[in-house]
Amino acid sequence: MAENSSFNNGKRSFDAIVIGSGMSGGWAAKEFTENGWNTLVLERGRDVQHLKDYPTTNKFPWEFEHRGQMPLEITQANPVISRCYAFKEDAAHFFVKDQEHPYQQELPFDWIRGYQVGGKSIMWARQTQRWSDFDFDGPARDGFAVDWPIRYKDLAPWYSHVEKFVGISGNKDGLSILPDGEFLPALELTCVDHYFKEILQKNYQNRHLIYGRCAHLTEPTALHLEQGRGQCQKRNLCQRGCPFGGYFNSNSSTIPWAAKTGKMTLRPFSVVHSIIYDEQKGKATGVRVIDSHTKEMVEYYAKVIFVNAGALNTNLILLNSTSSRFPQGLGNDHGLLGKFLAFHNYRARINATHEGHLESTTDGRSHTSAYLPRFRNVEKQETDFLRGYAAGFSSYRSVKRNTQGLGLALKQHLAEKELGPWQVGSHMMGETIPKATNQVSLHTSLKDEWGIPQLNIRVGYDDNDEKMVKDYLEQMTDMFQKAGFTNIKTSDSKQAPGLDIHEMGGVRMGKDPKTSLLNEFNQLHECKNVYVTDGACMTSTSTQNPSLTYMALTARAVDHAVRNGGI
Amino acid sequence: MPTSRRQVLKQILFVSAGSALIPSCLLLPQNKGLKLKHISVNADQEMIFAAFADTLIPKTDSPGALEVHADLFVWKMLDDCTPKEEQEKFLKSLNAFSAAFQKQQKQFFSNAASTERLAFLEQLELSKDNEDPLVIFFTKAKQRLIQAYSGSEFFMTKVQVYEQIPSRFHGCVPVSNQPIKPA
Repeated sequence: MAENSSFNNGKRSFDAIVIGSGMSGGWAAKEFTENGWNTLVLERGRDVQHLKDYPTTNKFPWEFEHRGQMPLEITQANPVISRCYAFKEDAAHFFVKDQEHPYQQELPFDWIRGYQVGGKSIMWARQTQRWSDFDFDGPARDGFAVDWPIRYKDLAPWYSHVEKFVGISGNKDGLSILPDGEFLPALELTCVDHYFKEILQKNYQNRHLIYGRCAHLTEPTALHLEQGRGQCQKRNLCQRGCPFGGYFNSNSSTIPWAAKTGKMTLRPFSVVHSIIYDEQKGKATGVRVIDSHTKEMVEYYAKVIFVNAGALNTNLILLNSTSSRFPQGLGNDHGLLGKFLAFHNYRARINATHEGHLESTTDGRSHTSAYLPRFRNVEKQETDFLRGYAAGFSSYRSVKRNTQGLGLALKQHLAEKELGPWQVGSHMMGETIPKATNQVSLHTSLKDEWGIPQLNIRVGYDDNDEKMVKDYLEQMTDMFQKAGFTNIKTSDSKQAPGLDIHEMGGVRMGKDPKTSLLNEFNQLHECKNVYVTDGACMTSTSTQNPSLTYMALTARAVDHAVRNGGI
Repeated sequence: MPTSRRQVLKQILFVSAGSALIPSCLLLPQNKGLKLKHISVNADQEMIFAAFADTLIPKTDSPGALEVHADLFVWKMLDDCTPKEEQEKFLKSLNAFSAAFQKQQKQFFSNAASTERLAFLEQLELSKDNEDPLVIFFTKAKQRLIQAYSGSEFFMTKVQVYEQIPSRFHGCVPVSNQPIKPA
C-alpha cells in the first residue's frame, strides 16, 4: 500500500468505496474507475500482484517439499481449511488458516476464505454458467424465500458484458435452462463424455450433457490481450495463479485494469469495521477501517459504498454497522439481516468403470469437465422435494501401475505405462432452500484480533436436501446403468455446509422492503447509497456456480449508481 | 543433483546432519543418524534403510533409489506427514527387519552382499503371509520408496515424463503403443 501515492497523501474522500477486491469487488473497481470515479478499494489481506506474487506457479511437482501434501502439524492445527480440496502445498498460502480469523460454529460449517487482493478468485474452480428464468422464477413459483426483483432479461446484457471481458469458453448449446453466452471456443469432450451424452439423449427428454462453460482464454480476443492476458496452456495448475493469465482472476484482469485508469486507490491490510451512517443526511457517508498491522481505526468517505467482502463477511460488516437509526445493523429494521442463508449441496458422488472405448484415450489436460444442467422440477414440480441439482461429469483413462518385483525388474515395471479402463465420475450441485433458521449473527462477547465481534454461523441441511441427495444418487445410478457402466459406487460425504464455497444470502434482494434488504439494483432499501453485490445478495441459490452472476449483478449495480450520480 | 548425501540431507530434511562433509559422491550414510523434527533415526536404521532402498531399486545404467535420494524423502514424509503411531511402527518394524536378517544371515543387512540382501527381500516379496509383520513392513517400505522414486526429478523428466505445459487437450485420440524408454 506504501506504493500508492494517493494513499500516502492521506486522501480520505473518494467518489466510491469498494469493500473487497475479490470476484465482485474487482468488478466494482473496474466499472467505477472506467466511469471516471475515484475509487477506494479496501482489502483486508495483503496485496497479491499478478505474476509477481504467485510463488509456486512454475514449480515442478518434485520441487514441493512434500510433493504437494500438507504436513500433519498444519492439517491438525487447521481442521477446517484442511478439508478444502485446494489446500495443498502449491496454494495453501492463499487460504485463511483456522486461527487467523476464528468464528463460532453453532452447527458445523467449513468457512473457506482467501484474504488477499483477488480473494478467492485466485483459487476458484472457474465454472461459469448463466442463470435462466427457471432459476429466477423459482422462489415465486415454489413458494419459498421471496420473489426475485429481477428476471433473466434484466441481467442478460450484463452477463454478456462480463463474459466478453472475463473470457468464457463454451458451446452454444441452445438450452433454455442454461442460456448461451458470449463464448470463446470450447475444449473437446472425451469419447466417453460423448457416449454418455448420447445415452442420455436416447433415454431421457431433458438431460443434456454439455461442455462445462469456464473462465479460460481458449482463444484470447484483443480485449484479453489488452489486459496482458494470454492463451490458456492447459496446465491445470490454476489455483497457483497463472503465469499466462489464461484463466480469469481479479489480479490479472479487473484490478490492474482499474489501476490503469489512475482512478483506483487500493488499500490492503484494511479490515472494515463498519459503515458510517449519517442520520441527518439519511445515508451512509463512509466506512471505518482498522489497519490490520497498527490496529488503528481510520475513516474514509464516499458518496457510494459497495460491499463485496464475501457473502458472510458482508453480513458481518452490515450487522456490525449499528447506529441509533439502525441498532440491529445497517438497513435491518425487520431483523432479516443475516437470515435466509443458503449454499450448494455437494455431498453426493458416484464413480464407475466404463469397459468400452479401449482403443481411445485423451491427450493433454483439460481444465473443466462435462456438465449436466438441472433436469428435475424444471417446467413444473414433479418430485417430493423442491428444486433440483446440476451435476459435473468427468471421464478419463486410468493408468495401471505395475509395482511387482525387485531390482531391475521393478525398475522396468515402473517405466511401463499401461492404460486401464475408463473411469467415470460425477458430483452433485444441489440447490438448497433459504430458511430463516439458517443464519449468521454477531457473538455477544467473543471478538477477533481487530476488536470486531466474531461471527456465529448456524447453517444446516434439511429434509429437502436429504431427499435430493437420495434422488441424485438414484438418478445417476440409473443413468450409469443405462450407459452400461460397471462397478458403480455411490457416496455421501455428509460434508458440512460451507465446503462447497458457495455460501449465499443474508442480505437478500426482493421487491418489498418489509421482507428483503436490497432492491432490484442491489441497494439497501433503507440506505440507498450502500450496494451489496456479492453472494450475500442472493435471494435463492439455484444450481449454477455463482461467481458469474455476482460479477454481472455488480456491473449492473455500478451502472445504476453511476447513472444516478451517487443517489 | 547435489553430490553429497549430507548436503542433500540438509536440503531435503532441513536438519544439521553432522559437520564433516565428505567431498565425494558418497551415497551411503555416514555413521551419524538423522535428527529430524519429530523422529530420531539412529545410524543403524539410516544405513539399513538405505541398503534396503539400494537393493529394491539399485543403480543400473540409470539412477537407483539412493541416487535420487528416495530413502531421504521417505524419512522426510515419515517425519512431517505421518501420524505418530505409524512413525513408531515403521521404526520398530525396521528394527525387527534388521534383527530377522541378522538372525538368518549372521550379519548386518547393510554389510551383506547385494545378492544376499536381494535374496532376503525376495522371500518377503514372494511370501503369501500378509499377517507376517516383516511382510507388512516390506510392503509398506516398498510402497513408500516407489512413491519417492517415481516422484523424483529424474523419474519425472527421464522415465515417465511429466508435462508441465501441455498447451493442448484432445478428448479422443487413438491409444498409441509408443515404447517407453526403459529405465
